[in-house]
Amino acid sequence: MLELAGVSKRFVIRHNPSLDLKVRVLALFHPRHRERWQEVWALREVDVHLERGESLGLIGPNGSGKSTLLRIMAGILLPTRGRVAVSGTVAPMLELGVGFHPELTGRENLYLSTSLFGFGRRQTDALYDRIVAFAELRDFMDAPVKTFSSGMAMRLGFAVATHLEADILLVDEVLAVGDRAFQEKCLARMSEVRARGCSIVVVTHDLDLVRRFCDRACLVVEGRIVAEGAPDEVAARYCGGGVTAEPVHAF
Amino acid sequence: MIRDLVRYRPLIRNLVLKELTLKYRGSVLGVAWSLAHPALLLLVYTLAFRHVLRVPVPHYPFFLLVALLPWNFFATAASAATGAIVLNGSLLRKAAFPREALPIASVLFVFAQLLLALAVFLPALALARGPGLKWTAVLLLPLLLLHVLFTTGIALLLSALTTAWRDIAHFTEVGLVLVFWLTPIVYPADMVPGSWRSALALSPPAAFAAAYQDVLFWGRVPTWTTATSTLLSTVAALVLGLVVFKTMSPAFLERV
Ligand SMILES: Nc1ncnc2c1ncn2[C@@H]1O[C@H](COP(=O)(O)OP(=O)(O)OP(=O)(O)O)[C@@H](O)[C@H]1O
Ligand SMILES: [Mg+2]
Repeated sequence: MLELAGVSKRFVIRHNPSLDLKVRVLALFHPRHRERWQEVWALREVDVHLERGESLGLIGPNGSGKSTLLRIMAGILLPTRGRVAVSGTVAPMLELGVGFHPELTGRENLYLSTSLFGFGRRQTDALYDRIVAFAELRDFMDAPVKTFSSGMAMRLGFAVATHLEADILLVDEVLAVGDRAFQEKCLARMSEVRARGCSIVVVTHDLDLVRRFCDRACLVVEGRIVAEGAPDEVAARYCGGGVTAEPVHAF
Repeated sequence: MIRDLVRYRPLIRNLVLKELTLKYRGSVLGVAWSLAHPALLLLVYTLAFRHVLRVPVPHYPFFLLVALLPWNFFATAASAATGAIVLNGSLLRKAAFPREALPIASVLFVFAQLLLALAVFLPALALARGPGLKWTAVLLLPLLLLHVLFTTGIALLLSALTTAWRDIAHFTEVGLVLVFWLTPIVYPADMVPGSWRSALALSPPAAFAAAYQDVLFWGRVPTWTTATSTLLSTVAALVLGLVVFKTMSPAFLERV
């Protein structure tokens, strides 16, 4: 179960990110050298509630805060304000290929990835065959990951994330690089873990995916959830140009 | 936090293994390089100090390496630590593991090299015509433990500070050279003028160097001052490192 209440996130974007001493000393004397920065509220007062075994789709324009929201759910970013309550373990799959070291082999990367979630060697040994079989990469596990295509890297990442037996699975637009057959396989796998009680949050620009897979959808615009409800209706609202930050419409 | 780190022991192990694999992969001699390194240093120093530069210390090459190998561990670990967080953004973005694992693993990776070096150097010290190895060598074990913990404290501190001030990396490089020459590693402590010697007693690196020289070279138990100084500086470095790291770690992802 996952509960976000009044979550806001502020980023400070530095325009000339000169952290070095010379510029800082100059800045004391001359405003021209003073650092220019801007603050961005990537999320404003967001509330999310997710039940066990429920799947939620997050849609919205670029830069609206979807990935930030997922990172906060994953505990990777802390909210500036608001409260996050998570019961159970979280398996995030947030960026393509992130965390894979290109020089290491598929096998080495697999063991490193699972240990990022606290899995030991034995626990991973027990999952190894199933993960590799799912990713269909048996012949490539001893090749360096830099020789993988982006789809192959995604397969490995997805296979690891969905075999960690976590209570919450977070997926950020990674399915798009899989081929058609593998996308279907991913959907089937996600339905399977959902049936076993895993909650899933998917961020995607593929509205069909949201319609087909999600129980519920949220439209995120400028850091706010502006519509929430049945995937069909929220997707329609998004297509119908409902992309300005207005009060919440619940369907 | 300690409980978290115990749970994430496999992560620390895998991070160390990753660095070792990356270091040796693709080289024909692999680990043999790390073993050959201290042997070659010993050979070069023996030739250089017997025939070129005469220092009034018997068995000088041994004297030098006894404190130089541990110093190299400390210095390499400290400068590696400045990149332990800022160069690992992609791991930080992947999962919410305890961030301490990164600097700790980078220290242990360098420590593994020290152990390899000692595996060659200690037998040489025991067997070659030189100072020999006395019973005090068993004190090396607690000493190494303290030195790893001290270095971990410094590594936590440096890795966290570098996320806010990139200058720390450069500052560390320069600072290490300075501290190296201020520490009696290349020269014996009794060559230091009397008035400076009391100042030296306050320097943790000097205390560690003296302790290594005592237990491995002079074959004597370190003085009370040396022992307390290593112990207190270890506790201080760990507490400072952990407090600063804990305070700064929530903002790491926004700064790498
Ligand atoms: N690390 C960061 N530092 C500063 N600003 C950030 C950071 N991460 C995100 N932002 C800002 O937060 C806002 C939301 O970004 P986010 O990545 O959450 O968008 P998104 O909805 O995932 O977009 P997309 O559909 O393009 O993936 C953007 O304005 C971005 O500039
Ligand atoms: Mg995004």
